[in-house]
Amino acid sequence: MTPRKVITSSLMLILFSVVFLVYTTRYPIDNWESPGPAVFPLLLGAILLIMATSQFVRALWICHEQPRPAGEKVPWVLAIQRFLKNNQGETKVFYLTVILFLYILLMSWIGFFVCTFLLAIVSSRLMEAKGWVRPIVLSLAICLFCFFLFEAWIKLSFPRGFLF
Amino acid sequence: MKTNYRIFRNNLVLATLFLMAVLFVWGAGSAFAADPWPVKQVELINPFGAGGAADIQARKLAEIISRDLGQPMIVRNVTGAGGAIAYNEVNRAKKDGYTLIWYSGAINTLAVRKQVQYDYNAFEPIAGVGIETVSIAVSKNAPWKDFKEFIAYAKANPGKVTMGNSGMGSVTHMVPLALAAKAGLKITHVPFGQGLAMAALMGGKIDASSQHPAEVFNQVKAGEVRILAVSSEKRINIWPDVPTMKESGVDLEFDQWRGIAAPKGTPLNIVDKLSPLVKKAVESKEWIDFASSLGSTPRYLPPSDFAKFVAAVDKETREIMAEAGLLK
Amino acid sequence: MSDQGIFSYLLITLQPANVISCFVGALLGTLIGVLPGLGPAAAMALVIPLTLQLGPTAGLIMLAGIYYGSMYGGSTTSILVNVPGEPASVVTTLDGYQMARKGRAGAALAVAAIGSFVAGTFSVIALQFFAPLLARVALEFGPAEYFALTVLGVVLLSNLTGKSRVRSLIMMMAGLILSTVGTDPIGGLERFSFGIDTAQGGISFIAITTGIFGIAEVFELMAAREKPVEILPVKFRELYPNRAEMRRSVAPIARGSVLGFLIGLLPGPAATMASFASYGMERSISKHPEEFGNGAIEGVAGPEAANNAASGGAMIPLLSLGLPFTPATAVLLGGMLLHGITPGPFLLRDRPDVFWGVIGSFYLGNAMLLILNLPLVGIFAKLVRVPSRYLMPIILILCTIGTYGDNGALFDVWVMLGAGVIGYVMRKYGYQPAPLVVGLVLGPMMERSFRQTLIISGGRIESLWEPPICMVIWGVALLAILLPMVIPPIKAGMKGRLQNR
Repeated sequence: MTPRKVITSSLMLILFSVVFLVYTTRYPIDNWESPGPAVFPLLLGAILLIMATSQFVRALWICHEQPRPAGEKVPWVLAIQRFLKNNQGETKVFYLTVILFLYILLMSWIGFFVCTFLLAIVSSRLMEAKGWVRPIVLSLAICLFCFFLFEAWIKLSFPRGFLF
Repeated sequence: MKTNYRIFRNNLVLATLFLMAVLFVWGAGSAFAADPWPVKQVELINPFGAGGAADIQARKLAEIISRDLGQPMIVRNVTGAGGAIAYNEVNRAKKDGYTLIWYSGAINTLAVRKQVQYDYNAFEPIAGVGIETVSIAVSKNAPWKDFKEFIAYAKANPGKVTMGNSGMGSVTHMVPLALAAKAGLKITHVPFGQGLAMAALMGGKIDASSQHPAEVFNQVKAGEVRILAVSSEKRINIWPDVPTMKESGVDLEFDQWRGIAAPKGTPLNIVDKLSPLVKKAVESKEWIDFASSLGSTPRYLPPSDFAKFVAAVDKETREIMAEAGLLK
Repeated sequence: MSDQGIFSYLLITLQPANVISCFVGALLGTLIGVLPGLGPAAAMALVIPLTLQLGPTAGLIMLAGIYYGSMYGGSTTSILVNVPGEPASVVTTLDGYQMARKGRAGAALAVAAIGSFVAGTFSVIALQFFAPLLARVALEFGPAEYFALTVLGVVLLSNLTGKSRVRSLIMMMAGLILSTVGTDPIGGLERFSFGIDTAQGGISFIAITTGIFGIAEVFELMAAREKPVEILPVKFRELYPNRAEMRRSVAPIARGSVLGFLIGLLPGPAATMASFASYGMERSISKHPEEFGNGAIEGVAGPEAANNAASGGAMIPLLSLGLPFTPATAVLLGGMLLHGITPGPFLLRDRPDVFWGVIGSFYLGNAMLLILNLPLVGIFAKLVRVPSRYLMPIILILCTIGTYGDNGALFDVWVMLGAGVIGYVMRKYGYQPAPLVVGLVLGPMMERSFRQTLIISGGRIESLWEPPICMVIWGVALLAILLPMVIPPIKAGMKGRLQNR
């Protein structure tokens, strides 16, 4: 792990713990005889803050000692292109996140099983499945299996939409 | 061979699609048909954890009711936040009689503590099922012979007596609160979860514990703990020797109550259909035996009486909370 | 009672109806355990109505079968696809999944099944002979002792993965902070719920684990630029652990059984804690700790044994005191009461048929599960070879269903997605998810017992370490902190002296 990653993540954690600590002060601390709901979170937040700060300082120290590797100068257009090329996988993750987001959002309108049926097809295609027949059959099979196992037999109820 | 396989596969796809279509029609059909209630299973939402006193009673009663209902009544546990999550879910549910709540004193305390944005008026009472007393349990080695001695000790040593309960704002917390106010005591209340208060009591970590009989009758039978008093109006069947608080000189009577309710606005014909079924179940010998063995007292209340009863408890809860300074 | 009597009661289990209900329970439990989400408590609650029709002995045997079966099945998905089937199997993902990626899925699954069998049987034997004694010991632990134990857990397990200790502690704190969301366990005040209904009940443990392990794993596989190495088909003989692997597993299984059994006596998430503790122990006493996290078989054998032994240990307070310490045993207690049976010291006297029937079913159930699971190993191990483009959608769906089905709340599914995204980013930045799970598990018990101790003692902070048991626990914790600081300089000093000579 590069020191840069340590520094950015530590800064995020420091920020989080400070916000958390400030937010916690809205709850009562009370007294030793009956410690209030704020006591435990305050302790946790403080320890997190200390840990993150110590990690941050140590990373800065290492950064300071090591001379920065002389990076080749590239025009920024090229740099962005290279970045995108190196992170092709990341864009897929982004797509899948968006798909899952829509999936959960639409679940209560369209209905759980229809949505799940679509999700399986789309995500299978996103994972470079070829053709449509196999993903559809697979997804149908899973949906029917889940429907009969969970809804018909174990009797859990899943959101129903206007379709099913 | 290969074509055979392909034909087989295509047929398989067609067959599954057909099955799917049938399912759609079947699902849609049941939703639009104007059959009399109930056409599908009825869910009784229990705000408390599986296996607890509230849960096993809900399950037993649901089983008895199911026999006459024509459809299964199943218990689903929706736990968390002292029951608030379950009440929210039922409050938001469709008013079609398929989502009911295993109603209890939690609605009173949740409303008073503003943990939910509504009160008992948001529910359509269907039937009162019974009451469950709260007992004060102490370890077998405790120095107090009876409840009077216990009160005297607590009076002489304000704040010294630690009393466990099964959660802040629960009925097992209300009773010691009211007891402290009525008898002029100062008790240290220690909230625990399911089962753990008894372990702490038997291990000598706390002095006393306020529990429903179902959670202690085991240990009483085994001689591990003694019961000093119960909070109900009369003594209960399983412990004929345990006096009520009134008999022991504290003018306090406060019980947990249980019943079944639906969200407000549920058609009255559903209430009218279900209430007699609950009556039949509650008055059955099977239920009376089962409930009494857990120390709870079966008492059916029709919807109108049940509504009045809940309103009265709500007022009382508010008074106890106000006195203890827990009102928000 | 004469031994003859016990024996004849144990034979009750072998009546056909009881054998069948034991089998059905074990099968159902395995299925539930394999599927992520639904835990043993929820599964048992679902079948209670069914058991009511079976009568007490057969009904309780079935419930017990589910209880045991789900502990067996939990490891399967952890090993195969990095999705823990139930909380106690979280730690199995660390090494089990790595083994699967190296083509040793079959070995991992088989060792998990064998370890579970040994531990399960061990815990029943211990249960049969020492129950009343151990139950008394369990009562010696009160809030102060629990608090000390949770602190010890944080200290010992912060070194769980052997990567950066500071980062582990940071993740643990994050987990503890997550556990404070929802209604405060003592005062009943809502915290950090931001007006969301479901969040009042706390952040769902299942949503976090399926997200942070399952969904993040799907993301990871998706982002991998080079396709994962195609795992070659394995011969039947290679499916099962080889001699070296078996030899390495013996001691961890034995240690895991004892450790798990003892932890199982305590309330709270005992099985989960037992598996984590066993993993931590195996790693710290191992001669090659660097293998842990890269597919060390000890990291599967120990924890899987521990979590099954813990589920046996948890039966002790239930059977001999009538006190349920875990959600699953609470459901078992509910089942008993519904059948008109009261567990407690008199269970043996009043209903020996039920007592020995249940004990016998544990023996039978464990053997049955082993027989059931070993052939399944072959089938499951082949699943690893399903191309990820078909396997990943299945994982996504099972994660969603498991998360939703647990509570029936859509909010939990959102939490799962959030945990998945954060879990993916965390991995990129070198933060381990396992300590976060430890924090999430320990949090509620830690806060509750901390505050209870102070309330009971009237605000005397000394009460946190005054009781004798607490002193011992705090001492161990202190040693665990100090030794790693002190030993390296001493070792360096000794080395230096040797060199000077």
